[in-house]
Amino acid sequence: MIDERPDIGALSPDDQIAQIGTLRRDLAAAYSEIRLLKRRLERQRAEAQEPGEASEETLRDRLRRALPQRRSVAPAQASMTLGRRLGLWSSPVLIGFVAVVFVALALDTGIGWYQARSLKVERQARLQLENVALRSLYVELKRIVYEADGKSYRMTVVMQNNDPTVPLYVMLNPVGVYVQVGMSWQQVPSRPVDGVSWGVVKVVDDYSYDVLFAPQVSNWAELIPGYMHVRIQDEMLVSQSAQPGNDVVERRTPFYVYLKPHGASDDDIKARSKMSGVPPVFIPMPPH
Amino acid sequence: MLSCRRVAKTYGTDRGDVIAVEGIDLDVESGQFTAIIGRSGSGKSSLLAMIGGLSRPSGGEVIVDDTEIWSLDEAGRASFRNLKIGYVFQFTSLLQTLRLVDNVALPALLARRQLAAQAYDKAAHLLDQMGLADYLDAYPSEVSAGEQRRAVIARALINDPAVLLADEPTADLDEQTEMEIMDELLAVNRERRTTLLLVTHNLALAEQAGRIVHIANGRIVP
Repeated sequence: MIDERPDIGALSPDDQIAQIGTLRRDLAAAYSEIRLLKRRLERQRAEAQEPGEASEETLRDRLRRALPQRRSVAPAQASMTLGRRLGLWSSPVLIGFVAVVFVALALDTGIGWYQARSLKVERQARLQLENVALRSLYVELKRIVYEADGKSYRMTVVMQNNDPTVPLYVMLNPVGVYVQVGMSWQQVPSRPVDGVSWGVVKVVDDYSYDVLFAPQVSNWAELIPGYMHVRIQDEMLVSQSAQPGNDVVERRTPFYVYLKPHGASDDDIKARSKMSGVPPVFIPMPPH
Repeated sequence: MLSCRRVAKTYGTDRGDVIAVEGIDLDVESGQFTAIIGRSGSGKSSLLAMIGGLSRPSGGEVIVDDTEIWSLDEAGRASFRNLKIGYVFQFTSLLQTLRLVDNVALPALLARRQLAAQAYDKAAHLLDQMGLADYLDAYPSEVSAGEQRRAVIARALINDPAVLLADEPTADLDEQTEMEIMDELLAVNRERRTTLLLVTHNLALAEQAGRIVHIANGRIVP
């Protein structure tokens, strides 16, 4: 190393000063290194507990060994108190568990979203169908007439599809007929006319059907003079499909009428109710 | 490579602005040992704090390993600081409730680039190199000031930083311990090729550096 130094006598005064500074720095660094190595050696000695003088060769070996080794064995195992849980996140078991939980949650969320969407679509379809059943399908009690047997009546119910481009399939159920007795309703027998049965009918524009009923009740309530108070409950299932699944809605249409009994005296009714003309067989009322 | 470009720092006080550092340009080569000297209040520590990403400059750029550290967001700068820059302050700065080995391992644990066991293993090695193998489980209050300072150096090296910043690291130590600490810092610079930037007002210490930068009134004196 010394051989590589320039001849200080051949340098200019400024360079000589600079060279002296460099030499002083190198010397200080060398002393520093010597002190450090000595301290390390002393530590090694203390650890090894080797008494006595060492040879020059041994000293060199120890100095070399005393140099820091980046991959040397740990001098002592200190217990970990910090960051133990950081390693946990490298565990394949934990990562697998977290992945499974994540997938399960994602699956659950996806199914939930799909179900919610399906329910929404279904609800919208149902609302649309209910709208059709209630608004497009017009149901009217057309008339009620006496039957020739002197005790029965024939009523005609008309259904009208306001949107003939979309046919409706209507399942007709038995029509319930009730007569008010006191404060309650008493059901009376009813049936379709001969040759007709309850079932599904296709309503493109108009469809009417007749029902026979026999209100043979003795103590019926007389809300207006000479007339029975009758409730007719027409129940039907409506769909836009001939073979519906869930796309079917139930429609209940009640009719309230005053019904003149068979054999009632028109004169008596007129006298009691101050009615002009012939008292009709039935007087329709608004729903109530 | 570490570069400062027109770095400035102004502190606002009740009595008006105080210019601590005024447009300093400084380049430090990788592996170089540079001493920054100057009187108290000359701006040495302010400059070091800006280089270390601790104090935002009022102006200028600080570039470490091709990264302008003050262009990073808070989290990015914290991560960069942890991985690239080691600190030895003029105070001990060890967490008193943690053992020496915990203190040294902590920056590695925060960096999350290695398992806790690896961090502790490395912390034990570093403390051993600093002559503290018998004090791994000791708390800072149980060791001397010089040993605490060695532990701080070990902590600064745990993430193999490119730059080691030492701000008057031996200010409150006796002469013997001061020499020992300087020997350790020089060894870090020599053996690891870590860029060492030492702030001191001790000329005898500064003379051991490959380069001396003299600062006065916030400027480099030619």
